[in-house]
Amino acid sequence: METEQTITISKDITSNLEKLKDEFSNVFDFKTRKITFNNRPLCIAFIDTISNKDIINEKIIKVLLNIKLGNIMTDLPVSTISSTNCLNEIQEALTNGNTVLLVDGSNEAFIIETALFEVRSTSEPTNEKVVSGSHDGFVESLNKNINFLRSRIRSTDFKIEVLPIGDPGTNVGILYLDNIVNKDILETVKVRINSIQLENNLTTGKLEEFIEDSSLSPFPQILETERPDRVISNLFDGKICVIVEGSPTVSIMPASFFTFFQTPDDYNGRALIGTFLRIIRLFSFFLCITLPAVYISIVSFSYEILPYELVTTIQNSIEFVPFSPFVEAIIMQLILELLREASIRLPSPIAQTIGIVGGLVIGTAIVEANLVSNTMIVVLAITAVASFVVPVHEMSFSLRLLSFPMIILASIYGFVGIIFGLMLIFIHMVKLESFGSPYFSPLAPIRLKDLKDALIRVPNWKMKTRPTNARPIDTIQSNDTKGWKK
Amino acid sequence: MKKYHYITFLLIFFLTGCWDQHSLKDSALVLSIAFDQLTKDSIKATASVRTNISKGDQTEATNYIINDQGASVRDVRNNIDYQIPGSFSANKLLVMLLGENIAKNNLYPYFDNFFRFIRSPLTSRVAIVKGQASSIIEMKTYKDIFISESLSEMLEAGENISVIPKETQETIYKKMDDPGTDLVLPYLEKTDDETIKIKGVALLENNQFTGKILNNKQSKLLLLMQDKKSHTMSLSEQLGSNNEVISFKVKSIKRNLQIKNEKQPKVTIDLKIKIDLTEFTGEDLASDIKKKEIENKIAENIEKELKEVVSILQDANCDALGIGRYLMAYHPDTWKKINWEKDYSKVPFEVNTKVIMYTSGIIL
Amino acid sequence: MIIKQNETISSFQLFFYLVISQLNVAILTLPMHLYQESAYDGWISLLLSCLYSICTVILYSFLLKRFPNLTIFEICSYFFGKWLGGILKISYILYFIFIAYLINQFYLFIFSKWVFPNSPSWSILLLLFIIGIYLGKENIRTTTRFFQLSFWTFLIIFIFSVEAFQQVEWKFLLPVTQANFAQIVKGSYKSYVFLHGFECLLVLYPFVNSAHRKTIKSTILSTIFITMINLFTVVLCFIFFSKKEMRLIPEPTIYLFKTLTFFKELERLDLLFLSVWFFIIASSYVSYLNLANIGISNLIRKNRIYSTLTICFLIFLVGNLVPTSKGLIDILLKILSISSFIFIVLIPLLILCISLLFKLKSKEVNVS
Repeated sequence: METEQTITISKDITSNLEKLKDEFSNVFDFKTRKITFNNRPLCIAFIDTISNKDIINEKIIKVLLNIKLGNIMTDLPVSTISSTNCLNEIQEALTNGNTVLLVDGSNEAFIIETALFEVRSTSEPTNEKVVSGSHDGFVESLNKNINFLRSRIRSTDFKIEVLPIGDPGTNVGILYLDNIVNKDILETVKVRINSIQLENNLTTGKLEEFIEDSSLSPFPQILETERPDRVISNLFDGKICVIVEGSPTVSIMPASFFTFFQTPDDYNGRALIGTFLRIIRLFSFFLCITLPAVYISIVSFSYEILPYELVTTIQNSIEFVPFSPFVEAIIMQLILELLREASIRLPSPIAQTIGIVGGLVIGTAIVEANLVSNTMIVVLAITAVASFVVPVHEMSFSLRLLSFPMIILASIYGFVGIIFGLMLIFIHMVKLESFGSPYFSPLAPIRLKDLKDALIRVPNWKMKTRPTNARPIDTIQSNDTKGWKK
Repeated sequence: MKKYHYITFLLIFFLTGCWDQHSLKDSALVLSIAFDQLTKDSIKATASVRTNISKGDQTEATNYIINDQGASVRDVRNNIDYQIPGSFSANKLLVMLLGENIAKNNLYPYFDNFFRFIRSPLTSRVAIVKGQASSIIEMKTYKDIFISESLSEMLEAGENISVIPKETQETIYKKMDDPGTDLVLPYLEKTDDETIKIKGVALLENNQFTGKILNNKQSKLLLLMQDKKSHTMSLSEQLGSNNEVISFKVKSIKRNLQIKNEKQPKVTIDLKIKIDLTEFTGEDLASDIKKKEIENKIAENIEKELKEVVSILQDANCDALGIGRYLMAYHPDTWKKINWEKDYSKVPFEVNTKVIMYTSGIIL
Repeated sequence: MIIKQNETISSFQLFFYLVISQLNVAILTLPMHLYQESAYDGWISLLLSCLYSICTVILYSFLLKRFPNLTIFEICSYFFGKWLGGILKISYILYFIFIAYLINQFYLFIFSKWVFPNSPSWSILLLLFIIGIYLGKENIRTTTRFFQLSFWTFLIIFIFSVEAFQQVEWKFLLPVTQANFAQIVKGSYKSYVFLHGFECLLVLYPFVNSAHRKTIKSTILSTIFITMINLFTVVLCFIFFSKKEMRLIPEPTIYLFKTLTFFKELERLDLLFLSVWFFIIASSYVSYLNLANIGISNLIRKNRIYSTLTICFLIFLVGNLVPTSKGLIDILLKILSISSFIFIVLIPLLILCISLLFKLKSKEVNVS
């Protein structure tokens, strides 16, 4: 924020009011009310649409009119009151929804917090549904979000720092647990956030791009979520949470590859089920990237791999299709992406219809018109379903994106091309670092203690240490949770 | 100049027909092939190719038969290629049939192409056919199933009931060069216009068909002696006196093959078979004495038949039991002195059988 | 040598690096070479050569204990002065580049025979070239992380060979010692050449921040591990193939997979096996590139990217221009057997002797 010359207000209320009216000209919701207090004119200024009129009416105007004499600082039954003589602060306070009391004959103005910003009520985020677990989600107000989190962590170690970033400033909150978080990573995050100089509005997405290690990578390095329970469990792992005012999506950093495959469902359900679901999700990662490529390389290069019944079936279905499998795959993937993109914007009754249209028309009619073969549709349908299994939306998109180069590689080099593509992806992931911690840990570098939560989910009473991903300073998470069993 | 390079580099990635693509659409899927001897220098190959024809908006599978002649396997393959739409692909070959006459030559040259080519699977089954092998392939369908599938399933079923040993191109390759073992291959015959039968196994000596075969029962006994029972093996024996027939399933075999090596090698085979009774046309088996009697009678019969099998093997000079391999492994000095070609038929065999009845079905 | 804090690896990670550098294309042709020398007793030769490897590692252990913070390049210049040491340094760098080139040629030879019979050689080499550039310029820590991933692909040998045991003939191995002792020893020399890879320890030793004993322990463990894998493959090939086949098949391991099915669902396992093995071939190639890089950065103070690019491009070019044939591979193997003996055994032995005689040691330098 630039430091301007501090213009002070004068003792004369009318000139102050003139200055304010000048600044807020063409602002229809800038309201003022003149009353007398302490036998002097007192002006109450506020911005109508964002002030809590209850407080203004009951707690300020009513009280002032009742007591008629007294000290403003000590007599008003309001929770926060401060005084200033700087015009910039008064203007800033007004745009933040606060009420300003201008007293004639004093060059001190009083600022009372009366902000009331509209928020929608909380609801479960639509693209992060779980079966068992809490069903509330973050909203757009920073205060309410912090409210959700504080209600679950009632501890003095839960530190929250709010910094205004950018010009005009947006409030950005940095939350962490002091006794667990690694101070170096915290410093890095703060330094990176503070160095943002933006003259635009700040949203979570933009913030992430500014502080990420490598924005050009297809893999997200910061976890975005709208669920409080995800944030809580990550905070206890020593991660840092950043909330931007105005976005219901919060960012959690540092994130590793396996963080994107965890859901609260795993931990709330039974251990075996949690393990099974984890394995399915990791399997769907491979499936989504490689299945269309494997199909193309089988059909184009070496169909000898399959048993002969499958070979004759596939030959049956591709007999009259004019395109090569590569072109078929590209067509179908593009159509799927179009469908997916369209279905986001449609209101729900039409979305049902589009589902039927997509399924019947595209699936059946395209095959009957011999534009795409049957087996290709099966393969791509399974791929599409697999890509939606990934819990975090960004990662599932990245996977779908990655399947395109794999298709190209498979049609040039066959199976070796698929392995080559996988190698390039893995090399990229191994090189990637999210705020100093390796992206693909605990598989590369192998950290045996972390494996208990990455590939499988061991029962909660076995999770004695925290994952080392965020390099927490306190690694013991529980000593003995089954003390009753001797 | 630089931009031009980038564009060509990018365009490479859109070449959808790269060098090694072997598209499924352009392949003529050959699922079975039969070789016959035409003249001294040329062979005739008959192949059955799987294609699709479209009936309305459905495609239906069908196959067609093609044949040609040439000097060798690869040559005749090239010749067939000139006749068919698509390229000859024996990548999923299921069955390879050899006519009697062609099998009387050394078999190795007919397999060489399959072993050198990277795309040929070596898992296709091999069988020798009485007469002309092409006559079987030319049947096109057998019992309403396409000839390749039906042959392969027939051979597979035969392996499961332990009539024929499982011989694929790979296992043949291995045994071809082993001086201590000789091959036996399944023997098919087209008995009339509508029937193909497994007649037993053909005995080969030094990779050449001797002309002698073992019938079904004898080949089962051979497998018994080789200790290679598959899932099930059932036999029927006639028990002399009242023409009682007893049928049983062999449950487990314990075979002890010993080669005593004094002046000459002498082979002793001790077989202990546990059987499950499946049919008995005589009186009931309520008493234990009767059971013991039956067991002994079966053992006698089997011993006699096994001796017959051994004499046929020695006659054909076919070392199907792998005695030579045993000698190489355990008595290498004897092996060096012996000339196995001549001496095999003079080796005395002794077979002892013991039969134990395990269960007798759900009635006694 | 000044090593940055973020370039060190632990002895656990060293194990993976060494396994990858020892496990490359050699395993595919090893059974045939062993058979040529010592017939069906090749597995005994293999065990003997494992013994030689362990002895060499112990030799290194003595040598490197006296020079805890120096790579082999610096040891050379420490001992032999500027000019002779410089020549030795360059020859070591050339040796590592030569092995990377050898892996390249082998890869081209095998893949153009088995997987891509119709593709031009530049397209096959292009794959290795790109991986070389992408991964080769990283520091040791990142490449070791990647090797911890690619290590697991060795399991493919075991998964695919499950069905092989139905068709094996254990009697091929009997009687033991069909060949005489001299042939076994000759065979062990030949397989010793194929088992090399632990000389990476000479360069990597200063990067490992564990105790001396742990490092040597993990090196010996990696040698034993590789021997076990090779033993499995060699024995499996010997009991699977007959004499005639062993004589005729140049790559028995791959041929083995060609004939197997995977529970009747998949055939043509050789193609799948080779595709997955590409992982290890490329990783092995990169490991030698890394060593050459460290050497060059010791010599010239230039960025790693340029040296990687130059080496990879040179190998790519030479690989394209020289036509691959069996004759070329034989010549390369002969050069390998001579040069590996010199660089792996002779020169360290020499240095150790001089160091013991003149009681020369280097001071312990702290890692900055």
